[in-house]
This record gives sequence, C-alpha cells and structure tokens, in this order.
Amino acid sequence: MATVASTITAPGADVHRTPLIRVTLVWVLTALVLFPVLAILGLLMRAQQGGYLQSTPPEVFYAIMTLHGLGMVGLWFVAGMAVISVLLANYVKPTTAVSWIAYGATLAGVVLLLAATLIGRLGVGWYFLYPLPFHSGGTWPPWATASLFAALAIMGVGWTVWSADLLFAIARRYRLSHALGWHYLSGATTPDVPPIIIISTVSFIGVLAGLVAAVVILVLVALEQFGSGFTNDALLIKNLTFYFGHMVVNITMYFGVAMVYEVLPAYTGRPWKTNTLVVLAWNLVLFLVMFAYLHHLYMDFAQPRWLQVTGQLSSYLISVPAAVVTIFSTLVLIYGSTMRWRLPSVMLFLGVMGWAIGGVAAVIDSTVAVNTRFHNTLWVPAHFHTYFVMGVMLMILGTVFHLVTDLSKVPERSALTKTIVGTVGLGGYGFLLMFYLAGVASVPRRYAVYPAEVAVGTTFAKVSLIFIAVLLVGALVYIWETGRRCLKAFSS
Amino acid sequence: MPITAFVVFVISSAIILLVFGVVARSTNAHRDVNYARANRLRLLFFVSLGAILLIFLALTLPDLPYPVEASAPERIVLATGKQYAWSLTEGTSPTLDNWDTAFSPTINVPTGAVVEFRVTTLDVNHGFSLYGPDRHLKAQTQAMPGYVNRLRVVFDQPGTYTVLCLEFCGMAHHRMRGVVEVR
Amino acid sequence: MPQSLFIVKRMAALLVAACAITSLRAQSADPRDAPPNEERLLNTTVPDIPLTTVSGARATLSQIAHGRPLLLAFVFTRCSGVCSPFLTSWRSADRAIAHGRYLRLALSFDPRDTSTDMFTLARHHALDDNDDWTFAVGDPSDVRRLADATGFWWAWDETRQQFDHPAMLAGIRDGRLVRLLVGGSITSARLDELVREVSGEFVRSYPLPGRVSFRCVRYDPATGRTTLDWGFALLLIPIAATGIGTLVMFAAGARVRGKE
Repeated sequence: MATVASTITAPGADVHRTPLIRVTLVWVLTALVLFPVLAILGLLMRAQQGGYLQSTPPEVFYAIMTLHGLGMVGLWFVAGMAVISVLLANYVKPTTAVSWIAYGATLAGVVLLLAATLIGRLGVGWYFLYPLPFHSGGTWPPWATASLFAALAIMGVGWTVWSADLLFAIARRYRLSHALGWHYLSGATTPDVPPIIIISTVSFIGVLAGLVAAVVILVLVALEQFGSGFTNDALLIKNLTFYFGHMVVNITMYFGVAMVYEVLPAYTGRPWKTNTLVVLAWNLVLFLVMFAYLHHLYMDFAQPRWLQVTGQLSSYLISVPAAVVTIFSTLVLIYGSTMRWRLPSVMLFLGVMGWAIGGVAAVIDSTVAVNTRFHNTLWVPAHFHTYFVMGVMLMILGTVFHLVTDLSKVPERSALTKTIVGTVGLGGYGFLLMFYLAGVASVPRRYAVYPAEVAVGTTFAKVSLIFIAVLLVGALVYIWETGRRCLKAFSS
Repeated sequence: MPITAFVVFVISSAIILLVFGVVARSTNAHRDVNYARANRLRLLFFVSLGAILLIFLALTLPDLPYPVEASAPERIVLATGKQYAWSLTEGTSPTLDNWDTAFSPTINVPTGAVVEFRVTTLDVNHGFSLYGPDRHLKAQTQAMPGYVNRLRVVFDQPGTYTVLCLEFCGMAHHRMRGVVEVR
Repeated sequence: MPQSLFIVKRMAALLVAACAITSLRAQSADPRDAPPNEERLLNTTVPDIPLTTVSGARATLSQIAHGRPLLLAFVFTRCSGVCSPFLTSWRSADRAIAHGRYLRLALSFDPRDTSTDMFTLARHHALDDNDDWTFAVGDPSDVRRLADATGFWWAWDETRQQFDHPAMLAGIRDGRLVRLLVGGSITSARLDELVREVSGEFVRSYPLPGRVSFRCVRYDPATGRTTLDWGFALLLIPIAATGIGTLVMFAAGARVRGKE
C-alpha cells in the first residue's frame, strides 16, 4: 500500500537516490526562479495588448513573446523530466550525472536564448517557423538567429541524452513488451509494471522522435544556409516543426499525467495498478501521438487532403484513452475514498480537471470545419494555456510540493493551501476565459497591438491582467512555500 | 459558428466541473469502490463519448474547406503577402523588385460575386484572413512561400472587408492589412 | 521564304528553344518579348473563332470542342524551333496522365499554312487519326484575336527566316482562359494539373515553379493522385530512427540484465 513517504523512501531505498534527489532539487529551485520571470513576461505581453506599455516597440513584444514561449515550453518539459526521473528511481536507476549534463545544457541554452531575445531582439515565435529566422527585416542581427539554433542544438543534445538515459534505465529492468505492458493483454499480471513505467516508456519514445525531427530541421536549415543551391520545401519544414513542437508539449502533459498515476494513490489510500485498459490506452496514445500534430496544418491547403483528415481523426481519437481510462479512473480512485485533501492532491485533482477542459477545447479546434474560424486566433493560446497552466503545471507543481514536503518534513498549513488553490484557480480560469472569449470574437493571436477591427481584444487583455495578478499571488505563495522546503531538504 | 463551438465548450466544461465537484464532495462519505458498477459506467461513458465523436465527425468532415470541384469564379484576386503588407491585385502580382510600384492594398469586388483569392507570399509564411464588416473572421488560408493557395469566397454582404495577417511573420505582423471593398 | 519542314533532334531543339526563349527575355523590354503572363490573362473570355480542320471541315472552336474543355497550342508547320519537340513532349505527357474528356487543339498562326500542311504535321506526330486531337488553321485576323486573348504572340525574324514565338498551352473552359502552361517542354505533372483544372476540378493549392530539394508529396500523373516524395521520407525519419533506437536500447538492456 503506497503511503506518502514511500514515493521517496520505498523499502529497499538506496543511497544512490540521494544524489539524484539533490540534482532534482537543483532543477526544482531553478524552475521556481525561472517560472515567475517567464510568467511576468506573459503579463507584460497581455499588458501591451491591453493598451498599456505603448512606448514599448513591437519588436520588443515579439522578442518577449519568443522568450516566454520557448522558456515555458522548455521549463515545463525539463521540470517534468526531473520530477519523473526521481519518481522512476523507485523502480529503475537513472544516471545522476546525465541529469547534471542536461542541466548544464539547459542553462547554456537559456543563456543563449536570453541573449538572442533580450539583447538581440530575436522575434521568431517559439516554434521559429522557417523561413522566418532568416528574414529579420533588420530587426535582429544574424548572431541572434545563430544563438537560437545553437541553443536549440545544445538543449536538444542534452535532452536527447537525458531521455535516452531514462529510457535505458527502464530497458535495463524491463523488456520492451513488458515496459509497454503487452503481457497484461493476455491476462498475465507478472511482472508487475506500474503505470508510470508504461507512460514513461511511451513518453520517452515520443520525445526522442520529436527531438529527431528537430535534428532533421536543423540539418535541412543548415544545408540551405551553408550549402549551395539547396532549397527547402516550406511545407516539409512546417510538418517537421509541428511534429517536434506538438510532441514536446504533449509529452510534457503525459509526464504530468504519469505523476498523477504515481502520487495520487498515496492520498486516496487506493492503489492504481496497471491493467488491460491502462495498457490499451497508452499503447494507443503512442500510436496516435505520431499523427495528431497534423491538426496544425489544416489551413495549409498545399497539404494533401488525406493528411488533413488523418489529423482530425487522430486528434479526435486520442481524446478517448485520456478520457475513458485516465480521467475516469482518476475519478473512480477518488470517489468515496478516504481522500486526504492536501495541496499536492488538490493540485493533482485540479490538474486532471484542467486537462479535461483543455482537451475539449483542443478537440473542438481540431475539427477542420471549426479550425477555419479558430486557427491562429486567441482560441489556440486559450486551449494550450489551459493544458499548461491549469493542467500540467498543477500536476507537476503538486508533485513537487509532495516531494519537498516529504523530504523537508515541513508540514503544510491549510490556510496557505486554500490561498494558493483559490487564487490560482480563480486567477487561472479567469485569465483563460479572456483568451477563449477573444478567440470566439476572432481576435488574432500573436498581435502586439490590436487594430480597430479586433479592438475588443484590447478589452479582454485588460481584464486578463486582473486575473493574472491574482494568479501570480497564488504562484508566489506557492514558490515561497516550496522554495523554503527545497532549501531545507538540501540541508538535511 | 464560433458561437456554437463556444457553447459546446461551455456546456462540456460545465459538465466536467459538475462531475469533478460531485466526486470531490463524495470523499466526505466513505464507501468502497464497486468496480463492477464503475466499469459499467466506464463502458457507458466510452460508448457515449464514441457516439458524440462519431456524430461530430459525420457532421464536420463533409464540411472541409478543400473543394474538389468548383465553378469558375467571377473574379480572381492575387493576394501576395510580404513583410509587412498585403497586395491585392488582378492581372499581375508584384514581385520583390517592383513591389513599391506594383503593389495595391485595396481591391473592389461586386457583392455576391464568387471571388477566388490566389494567396502566396514573397518571403515568409503569412496567414491570409478576411474580417467582415461585422468584425468576424469570414475565411482564411495560409500563405506559404513557394505555394499558391486558392480560397473561394462569396461576399454576400457589401461593405469593407479587412485582410489581416494570421501567421506570425515579424515585428509588424499586427500592422499587415489589405482591404476588399465589396459594393 | 518558305522552308521545308525538317525534323530536329529533341534535345538540340529544346536547347535551341531554351536559348531562344532566354535570348528573347534578354532582349528589349518590350512586353511582347516576355513569356505570356498567366496572371494578367486569367478568366478572360476567349473568342469563339471559326476554324478549318485537316479534313477541310469548317467549324467554330466551341463546335469542334463539342462542349469539352480545350487545351490549345499555337504552332506553325515550317517551325525549325520548338514547335515539333513541344508537340512531342505534349503527346508523351498526355499519354502518361489520367485522362479527362477534353480536346487537344494545335492551331497554326502562320497565314501560309493550309489544312494539308497541318495534316502533314499531325501525321508526323501520329495524331492524324485521333479524335481527341485536332489540327487546324484559321482566318489570320481571327487567329490574331484568339492569340491576343491567350497571350500568344509571334514576330518574323528576317535573319533566321522563322517566327519567334513562345511555347505554351492554354487551358480553356466555358469560353474562358483557365490556366496557361508556358514552356517548351511539357511535364506530365504540370499537364495533369492543367487538365484537372480545365476539367472543372478545383486544384486548391499548387506549387510555384522553382527548385526545391525535397518535397513532401507530388502529383503522380499516371493515376492523378498525390504520392509521397523524398521529403515525406524525411518526415518518417523521426519515427523510424526512434523505433530502431528503442529496439536497440532494449536489446542492450536485456544484455545488461543477463549479466547481472
């Protein structure tokens, strides 16, 4: 029976876990510092869109937008990886040194990106859609573009090595068919493979595929820049770009979900074990996640029709395992249980709810006929901020709080828990609602300033500032509480 | 149609909130899981969700914006995007060399005409979008370098339609505009 | 001075045609010197002129077409340049694509050409007895009107005793110019696109001419469907590489497990 303590100090816990815990705490502290900075960049963006900061040149807005996007995607990915690695250490042996290498690579990438955006004013958006990085129109210098690709390359190498190490850690203990749970399909229950192993196997395979796609992009782009006569097909690069981007954010989501499977049982007092449904669901996800990215190219009429239809079908279908297996099982796990509502369990619970709501918005937009009106409006940030802010962020931060509370032995104070949950919930959903309403009103995304035709966007941005402020209050309380537990865990 | 999508979203979210709320409250009174009942409920959920998805697939897949056959349009407008303006012309489209003299940000078309926009770009990806006098997005397609995308639009309502850029393209992305005057 | 029709090797003729067209562009800024501009002429109405076919029958464009869409090329029989290789490549490309119901019309713009001359040209290309192909001549002023509507032009070159002219295919549907295909050599991919358009099919996106190293997909003219190009193989690399990498990794893991 899982207890709170057992996620860190399982029977037979090894000394080897201490260095891993240490590097993970470094990751967590770094994330706690970077997150509010990146969030404030988002606040500045909404402020400018709300008509304030009018003296800020638009290229600064777009540079901040690029940093906020790349930063947040990268931040939650590495936070997910770090937390997952410590949870996986209950079952397999990740290499601590690799986590440090990835940390170093990530820091190097962060520095390069900060330079490129804040100094160089690189404004390419987080998915740097080719050929925009090479058409600055004088806005940013060539070294900023070079820094961007260098950052991506360095972080990519670091993250590839990290993902491969974690997958290999699984491979050292389980054979592939067991790691994917196939033996459960024929009724066998041994070896007992916990859900986190299956989800992690699926996730690392996905991540590696996404990172390889990024490598292909870098090679093709380099060939064009340095080769003579080699010209890239914009459609091919766009397919590869969204394959990579969609995969990274989806897998980050799955890391959060794996944490729910692993940690929530400790609070409900009920186990969550692998069964046929879990295996079917996650193997189906592994297959479908390879195609779902196609929903980003509906408005590219150059894309063959059958790929467009595949995009809608796979995007619709991928909601089924999520809803019918994971979300439903979460609810069954909690229903009528002796659930201990603490900050971690509340955050995990709300995170699953946010994932469900964001999922509805995503499936709606993945309908081609609807996408003709929603593509590149604020509906798109609405749904992915729902997934991130009220979904995976809550899942990861809930798990982090669980870990640091367990390590530091600092008890939780329910008043602070209620403050955090209340402000993050209200602030988060209010901020999101402004995005959704703006999307329905056809307000375009990624606009520094809204023209008269979509002036209502300015109003929505203004109102969202209030909610962001509320959200930030909760976030800062959380950061304070978690940060001090982190530091205490370090010293103990 | 965005309103319909939003209503579906709001109703679904309300149901999700309700269900999660009920489950949260249920922890006040402890009871064991009746797994048989849970699995029957799961099956019902699966069938319902599957049915809903299939219905929406059946309703929406025939409505793809990729016509296979179409009658000849009455007007063909060449829409060319470039950092940071839209050119709307008939006959000849501007090139990078003659942009300043050859581009035109405005075009007139008659009400009720079937207009075909041939959308391309001279530099990076842009997004060709038409906003009507009611300030709603009427139609859109991407402008991708090396390709021409063809968008058929019927302008039923007279008025001023604005072309805005819907694919991030650089520092003046928000200022790219064109005008289609429908009379 | 009339010259007899002679057969030029296809490659040499294409080279001549390419040089001719290139040198035409390099000459004066006379817009007539430039290849016909599809954009300027799209959707223009094409005059329904009377023609005389190789059998001597007289009929208008629409009567000859019998309601079918029409692909039109202007040629002349004394051409020592691009006309013959052009017709040859058109015929080969046409054989390679999925057929729609449409008429292929080769019309002479040279006032000296008679229907007998055109019959000889048709027979040379083994197209004299083919219902889908028509070779014809017309009244000079009528032919001029049709040429103007489609962007075709010609100019007599005294030195070479030849007409300078572009090579192009005009796609005409319901009396209006739908597409222009300019160039001395017809590829089956571009012809297929043109034929589908002329047959009323809506081609919602097409690539611009230009060298691109890897494309995702390309049209397969033999079946009229899109097929995968090398670019698509690049798109599959992530899945393939990861799949292989995963298998290798788990095999290595099994070996490590065996040793422990």
